[in-house]
Amino acid sequence: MSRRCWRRLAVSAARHAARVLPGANAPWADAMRRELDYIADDRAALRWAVGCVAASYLARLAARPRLGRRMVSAPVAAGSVLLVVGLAMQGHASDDPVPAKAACEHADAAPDVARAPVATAGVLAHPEQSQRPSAADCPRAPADIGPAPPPIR
Amino acid sequence: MPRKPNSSRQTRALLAALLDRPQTWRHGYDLSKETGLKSGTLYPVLMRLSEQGLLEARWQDPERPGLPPRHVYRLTASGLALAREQARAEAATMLGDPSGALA
Repeated sequence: MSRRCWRRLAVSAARHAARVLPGANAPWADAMRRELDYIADDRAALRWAVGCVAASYLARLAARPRLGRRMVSAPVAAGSVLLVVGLAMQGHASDDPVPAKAACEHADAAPDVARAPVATAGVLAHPEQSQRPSAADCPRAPADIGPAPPPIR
Repeated sequence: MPRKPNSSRQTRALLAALLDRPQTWRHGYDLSKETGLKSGTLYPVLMRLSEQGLLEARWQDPERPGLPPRHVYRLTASGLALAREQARAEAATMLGDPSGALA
């Protein structure tokens, strides 16, 4: 890109910055734009102009009416607390049985050991409640482990 | 705890640069080069200081014909007081005396 292009781009950016800046700050926009004429290096002028655009947008954002900090922070705090409580309860409120994959871990153990109650996150679950996996699901499982004993009462 | 106003590193650097030659009117580009602040940082700080009455600004006629007038800045009396106070506090911190009594 030629030096003239850098300069032209810088002038355009500075003009844009002047348009973005709110009316009360118009002298500041002029100040930033006119400073360009005193910057000999074209690349430095473009860097300056880009900074002016950033400054203009910042000033514009700062001039917008904002909600009070309390008004913003109360719903955010309440939402955060609800989210944390919800996530914490999700782990305990589930009534899902022990996943079928867990039963595979006991596939080659004695039937009475494999059927021992399994404690999971404070909830006592029994493998009987879960669906028995098929032999195809458990590669190490024997072909036939015999009929299932009566459930433990 | 809310942060003390005008205590950011950028504002302190600008106040220190303006305090260096308090009676001289300074240009934006000149201040940018001296403080190392980019225009996108420098001008919001200048605007804020001006709004707070700590900085005065005016248009200066160009030294050479064909160039536009330039916006120039210097500290007001209250700006000068703040800059001096911050310089004192900074010196005290460097000496390891946070109360500022040594400065």
